Amino acid sequence: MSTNFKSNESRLMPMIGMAWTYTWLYKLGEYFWQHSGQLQDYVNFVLCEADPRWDQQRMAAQIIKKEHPTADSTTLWLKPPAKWQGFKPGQYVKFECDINGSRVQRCYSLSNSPADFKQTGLISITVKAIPSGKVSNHVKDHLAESELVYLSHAQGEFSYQVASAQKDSTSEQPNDLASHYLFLAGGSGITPIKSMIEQLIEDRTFNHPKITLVYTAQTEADAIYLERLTSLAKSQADFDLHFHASQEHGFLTAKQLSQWIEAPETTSAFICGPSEFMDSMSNGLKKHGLSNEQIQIERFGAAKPAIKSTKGKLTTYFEPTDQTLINKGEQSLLEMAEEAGLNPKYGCRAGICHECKCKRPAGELIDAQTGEAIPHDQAHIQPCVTYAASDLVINEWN
Amino acid sequence: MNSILKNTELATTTSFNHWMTDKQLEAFGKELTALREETLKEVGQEDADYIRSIIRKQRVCEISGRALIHFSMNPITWLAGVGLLSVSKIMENMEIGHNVMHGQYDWMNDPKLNSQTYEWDTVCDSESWRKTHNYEHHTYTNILGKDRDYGYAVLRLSDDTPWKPRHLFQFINYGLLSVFFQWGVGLHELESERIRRGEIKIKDKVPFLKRIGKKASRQVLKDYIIFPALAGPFALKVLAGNAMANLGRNLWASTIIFCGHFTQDAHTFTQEECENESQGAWYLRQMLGSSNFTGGRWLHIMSGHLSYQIEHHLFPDIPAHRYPKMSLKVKEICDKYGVPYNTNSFGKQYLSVLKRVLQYSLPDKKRPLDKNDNSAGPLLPS
Repeated sequence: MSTNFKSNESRLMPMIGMAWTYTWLYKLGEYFWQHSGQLQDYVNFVLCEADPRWDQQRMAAQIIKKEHPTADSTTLWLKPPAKWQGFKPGQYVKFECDINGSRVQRCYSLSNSPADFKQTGLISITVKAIPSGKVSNHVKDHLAESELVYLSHAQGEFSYQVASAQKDSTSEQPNDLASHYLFLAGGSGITPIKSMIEQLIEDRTFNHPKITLVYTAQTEADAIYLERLTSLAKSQADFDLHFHASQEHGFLTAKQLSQWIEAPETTSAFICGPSEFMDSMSNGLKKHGLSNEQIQIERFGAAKPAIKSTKGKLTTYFEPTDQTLINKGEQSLLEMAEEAGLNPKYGCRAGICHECKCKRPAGELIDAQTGEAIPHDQAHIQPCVTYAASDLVINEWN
Repeated sequence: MNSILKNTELATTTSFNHWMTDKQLEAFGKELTALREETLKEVGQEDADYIRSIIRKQRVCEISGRALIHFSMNPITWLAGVGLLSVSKIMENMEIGHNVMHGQYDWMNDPKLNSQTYEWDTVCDSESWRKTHNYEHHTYTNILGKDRDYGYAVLRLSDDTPWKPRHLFQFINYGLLSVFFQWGVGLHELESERIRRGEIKIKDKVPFLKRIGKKASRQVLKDYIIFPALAGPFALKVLAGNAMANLGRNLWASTIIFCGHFTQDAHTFTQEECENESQGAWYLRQMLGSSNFTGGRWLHIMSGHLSYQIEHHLFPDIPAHRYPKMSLKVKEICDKYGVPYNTNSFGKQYLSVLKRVLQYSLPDKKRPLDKNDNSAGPLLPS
């Protein structure tokens, strides 16, 4: 495998990719061969033998650089393949790697700006290691430079309207009216926000909003990118950074928000962080006169349900495999199914992608995102953000 | 089979108690389950690397085989191509397809190696296979009247099928079944014998026929139309090469599979004795109904590790390349409980299959009696 990542990854590959997608051979293969596309597999096999980065069926990205911005976080700089379609600041990718032979997937926000990507051809993700976190610890301890990981195209709605700000001034998007962008970041929630701020600063020639970042983490040592953001704030007149160490000063409160909101009607707010943080901040903003449309939240990592499971052990009966599972504390349905070895399909594990699905003919469920009971007429349940609140019957998994 | 007699302690509840008491049966089951769990803990990177290396070898064989068939200028390179394509089809069907469809690699989360979506290079549609093989055959192994793999509705292999004059020629049927094995397997779900007996109607099988029609036509198009057409004026050479490779695969697969359950010492069971079967009894039946054969590493790989048919039937969803190691412990358990472990060289096992096919083509009275023959019906200590 060639590891010379700086050489302009030949222009041949995108062409092969195009030809691959449109040739009659491909169509023929799809029609006559086995449904998973045997012919395509063979062509892809030959390409991957030549260079695994030429994988036409998955998007292989090479790890170019690995850094540890704080003690428990890791930044990976990745070179995505030519066909990767770029991103808007604030978006995330589905990130896939192999752990002990098995493929696992998580969603991570992109932390550098699209402008930076345009210049260097690299994207970065920053992952905070969670105690007992399977993927986050693997990223920290085992993934090495020059290894390959796999990506999806960028996804997600958590972004400001950079396009309309640049080109279309008549757009009715609420963000167009904003003259003040207020970013509230808690812990590792800084990653998509860093991307947005960097891009906003890059785009200053088109748009002149004032930028305020309120960033809270336990201590300064836990705060990812604090140095970089501080120096940005020093060099940019319209960018204010307020760091709040929660270990020292306690959690940020809604009252404290007032000092950063000057004109509620022209403020756009973006919040990302732990779910309690996001809840209290968005409530605070609303009290200060911001409307729902002015507040964007990135709900990563499902919240635990507000309603605790009722007393005693709850059982969940999985019809497809005729298994009865005992609910051990606060496990989502997806986690329960995984623990039972059911190997369910999943994607973001945060209620976004709808990869995991099941049906519930009987029992009570709680939606972790709202903390409320899921109505019985709701056809499809998203197991990754759903908790059992009674004995359950689950059928039609995925 | 004398070892069995060690364990004829008093028991009446099920016929399996001729082999062991209920208590022993339970302990026996627990030991096997423990072996299963112990092995599952080890499953990981090594298994992923193994199956990927096999897939890689298989693809190299297929691509080079087809290239040789296409561009060969003499019979020798053409034959080499046929050989390679045959080997690739065998590897794909046996070590990859069969094992992947048993769910041995589902834990890898690789959509290309998932039991529910894998589609293999044979006429048999994978959905049909999961039903007739994974469910019917692996659940009801060697239960007469329930395991339709037993004789494939073509052969008489035990006394339970009343002899008819047509059985005299069953050796010819066996030959035909081997030559067209992929079609036999593909059409297994049609249950033609039940249609003939009027138990079901062909109308009930329309959805199946649609599926198999689609799959089979794709296979036929691939090997007999598209690839030959790509060779232009040399189409006939490619067509013949592909037919030969399919024939090679069919003969090999049929031989391996017959060695798994139809050797002389493989037992059959009645439906009554398997009612309310315990876990231990299920394991025992899988063991008694299956037979292994010995050989080198590549013989095992080319047989999809069905050379370890006993281990495969005990643990169908454990990556098959782990069977050789597991077999040591399985043998130990067999010795401990006095259960026969049916194994022999490949040649000897195959000869005993042929013998069985021939023996049962004759009426019972004419059949030469074999002292060691346990195959005939109910499980009684000999």
